[in-house]
Amino acid sequence: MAMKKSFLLMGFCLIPCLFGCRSNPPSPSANAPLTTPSVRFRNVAPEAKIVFNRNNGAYGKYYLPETMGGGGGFIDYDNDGSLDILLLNGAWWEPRATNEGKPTPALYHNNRDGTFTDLTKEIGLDIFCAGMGVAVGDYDNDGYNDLYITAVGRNYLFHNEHGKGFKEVAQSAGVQDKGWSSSVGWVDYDNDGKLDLFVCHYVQWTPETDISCTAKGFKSYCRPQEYRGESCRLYHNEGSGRFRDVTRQAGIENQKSKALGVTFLDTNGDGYTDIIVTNDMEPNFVFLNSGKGTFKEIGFESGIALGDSANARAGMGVDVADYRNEGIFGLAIGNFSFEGIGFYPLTAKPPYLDTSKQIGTHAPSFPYVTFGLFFADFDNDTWQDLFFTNGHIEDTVHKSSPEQNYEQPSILLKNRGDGTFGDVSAQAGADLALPIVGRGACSGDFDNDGKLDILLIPNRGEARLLHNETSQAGHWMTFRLVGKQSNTNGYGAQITVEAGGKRFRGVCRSGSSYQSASDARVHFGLGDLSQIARVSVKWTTGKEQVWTGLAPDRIWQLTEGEGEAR
Amino acid sequence: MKAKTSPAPQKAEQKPQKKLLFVVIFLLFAIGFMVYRITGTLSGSRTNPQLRVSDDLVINTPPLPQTGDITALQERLYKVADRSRALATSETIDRGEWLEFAREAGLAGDTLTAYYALQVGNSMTPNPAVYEPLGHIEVQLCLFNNALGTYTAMAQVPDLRLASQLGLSRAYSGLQQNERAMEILHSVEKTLSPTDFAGHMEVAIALEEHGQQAEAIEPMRKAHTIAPENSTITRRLAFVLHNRQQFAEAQSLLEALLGKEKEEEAARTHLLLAKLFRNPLNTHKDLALAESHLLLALQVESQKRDALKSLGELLLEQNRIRPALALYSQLLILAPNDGSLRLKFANAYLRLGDTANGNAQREIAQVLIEQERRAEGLITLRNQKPMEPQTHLALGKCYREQGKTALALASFQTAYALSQGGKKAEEELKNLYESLKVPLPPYKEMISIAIEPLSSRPVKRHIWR
Repeated sequence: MAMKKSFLLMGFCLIPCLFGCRSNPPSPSANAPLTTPSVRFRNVAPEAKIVFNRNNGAYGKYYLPETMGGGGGFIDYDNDGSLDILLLNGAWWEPRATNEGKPTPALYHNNRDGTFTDLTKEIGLDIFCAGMGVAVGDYDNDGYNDLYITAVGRNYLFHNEHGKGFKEVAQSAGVQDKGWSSSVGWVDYDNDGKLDLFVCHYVQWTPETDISCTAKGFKSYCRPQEYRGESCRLYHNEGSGRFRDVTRQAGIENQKSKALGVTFLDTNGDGYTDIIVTNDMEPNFVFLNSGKGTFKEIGFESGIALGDSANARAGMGVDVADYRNEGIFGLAIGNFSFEGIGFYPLTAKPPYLDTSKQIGTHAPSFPYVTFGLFFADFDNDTWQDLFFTNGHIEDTVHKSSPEQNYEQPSILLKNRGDGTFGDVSAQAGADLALPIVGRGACSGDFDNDGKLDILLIPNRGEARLLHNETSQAGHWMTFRLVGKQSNTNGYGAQITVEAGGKRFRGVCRSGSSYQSASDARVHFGLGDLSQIARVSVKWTTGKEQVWTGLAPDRIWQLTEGEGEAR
Repeated sequence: MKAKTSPAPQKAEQKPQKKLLFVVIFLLFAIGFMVYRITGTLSGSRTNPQLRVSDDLVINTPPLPQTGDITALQERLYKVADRSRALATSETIDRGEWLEFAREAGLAGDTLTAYYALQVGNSMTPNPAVYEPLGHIEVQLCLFNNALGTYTAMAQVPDLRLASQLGLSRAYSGLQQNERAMEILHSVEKTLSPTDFAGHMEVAIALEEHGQQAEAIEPMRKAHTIAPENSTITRRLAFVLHNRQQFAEAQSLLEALLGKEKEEEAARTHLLLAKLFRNPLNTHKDLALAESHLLLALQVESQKRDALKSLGELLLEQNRIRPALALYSQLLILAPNDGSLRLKFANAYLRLGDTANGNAQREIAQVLIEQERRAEGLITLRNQKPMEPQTHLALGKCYREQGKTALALASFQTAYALSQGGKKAEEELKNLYESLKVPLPPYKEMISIAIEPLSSRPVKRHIWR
């Protein structure tokens, strides 16, 4: 017996040595210095006259919605070519709602001189609701972007009245919904040229069914495990301003869902957009589109349902990008502190494997609770960087865990161009790293200078507009797609830019990040490439269109079926 | 330079010559390995010819998930059931015998029988020495109000005051009166003598159980100051400090322990040091050193699952897939029903490009993980409402499906106790015992004896030890 034990012992101890005892990370360049230019951001919200203090409604009850934050987005609602800004607000809960002023969302019109004007009331967005997420899209193909706003209790569809204002039509359109919705996105899942609506739902909660929770002796927000989940909903656009709830028949119904994030991508190249959903402490979903109006949930088979240790993590913000410029998209998912971001290269066939620890995205995200998260090439060097905003959910976390804070710094990871990322937050300016209770976040080039800016909507406190002040950024191109047979936003269309013998890929889409709407125009950094060989767009109709001779460093409008770019 | 501080392997005990030979061979391997690691780490230019694994390397297919071995449990429960029947039908009530039997039943994993046996043994003339095990079992069975009564009575006994207060705190915590539970702990802490090692230690443990790691540090420090050579308190303190990201102090405490503690305990210290050096928040994170400590832990205890799991994760983190695969294949022999391990094993295959084996293992993992997640969901429900018998019943059924018989038994017994012998719980217990081919202990008879000892039976008194 002793002999057997000794052999076993030796066997175990020698296993690692038999195959080598290398302890360095696999990537030879994982610690390589990051190249210039260094990305820099500055908060210009005050000088841009964006004065928005998000109210999370907290007054000691520790209602769960108070800590889940809200989003915002970039929307060019009047088609003047400049991005306006929408910011969602929280709500007071009864009985305080009757005694206090009622917070509302805010829409800031871009004056195109670096300043914005608050036009919330004038255009009809001064509603009182516990705002959560927003999606921007032209659901009736009239050429103007409409707004879908999710909230606790019910949701809102604002029809854009030709840039003059918004009219709330959720009930008549059949998308008023109920329960607690979070992130949302427009997607033409059946390629019929009309935008459908995918709405994430979180948990079954009302002030009446609220559970009182404590954590480590302090009154606290409950964990999602304490509540039952709510199924996400899919609304099919029937035309004529009407939608039909197809959640069950499409195979989306799943009551275990506690969804906080959604992103859209055709993961298997069959021409139909699939839906990736992040869940809080429940396995993440991948809804694979059959192309016949139904989806198959393959989260586990795809490998993204669970973390490395087979644990369901606190999935929140999510995004995808061709981070290696090889046509293999990377999927990044924000999680809770001590879980780290999940990073999955979406290879030709699932299952996809989490490479976060190997490529440098795990350690910088490990201490933080990551909500808003997205890819963007901030320095236009052709490589998609990764930004995420963080903030704990417990305002008293420092009492029970002195090393943790409610306010946490945002993080910017620069893509090294070899498949790995490095943390450049410290060099990106104090305004980026300033600790906030990060929740909503999105990107957009509000001043059309070719460099992507960042909008941050903290759980409570001032919204921040981080202007990209990177010097010596590379060349760039931005495309606004206009669908004709496809949906007018061009959502789902794939754009490829060919320059210098390289191919850069992007997808025009709604969704991503956390409860927020980034600029729907597709931006490419081109580095030192000034000669563009070809730009092609594969529309959701399946047709491909090619443009040549386009110059860099400007915004182009590419219209389906029109040979001339504008 | 960190590698220089790496501790030397613990000395093996003197053993017969044949065994000694193996130990020496092993130590030579280990020392050789350490020298190789240290020189490699220092030179920074180590090559790994052994990484080139031959194509004919065969990874043993790990066993499929298995129903747990219930033979030992069967035997234990059979003995308890047999003896409980004998005692219940005995012509005399020997309190001492019942109390001894309660202890045996508890050790056998039959909490419910232990509970009723304690009640019988404690009936008529309550015995203060019974309070502590009785309260403990009442908390285990979620009979928190009963536990409050027991610990309140216990508080009247001067020598048992500390234990009674800790028990009251646990009972209030079970009743979800956390503030009250914490108040009690804080007041106990204030009354402790500066030299009361056990007191500080127990308060610290209780605070930890309440999730108050930050507050547990102070009594832990006091206990450590009183008995710095005590490895248990040192490790506990280091563990909490590690969790508080006070890495340097945790490291120095642990390194001071090495070489001073018993060999079998050194594995735990190495494991903690490995955890410390693997932590991404530790500015002195050092995977090579973490690996060394894991290997040293495995020298002491070759089948230490925590160390093996940790080593597997470390290998995967470094993309050393083949050794990870080999390690997981061995680890799954020890734990074939562990969904997490199975998934890692599958992912290791997939990372090597072996989709056939990878997907086959993933399918097995999926079933295991879904079962585990279902149990987790029910545990959350149980924690929300611990005094609702139906949640314990559902959890018990879930455990049965997973082949976790001992856990199923505990859940059904709690449901039975909470529902005061409810039919559904009784049915589940009967089914479980039937499947084990063990007769159900005479719970109802025991209850009736406890409530109203048969006047016709003579009562023999005994002192509970």
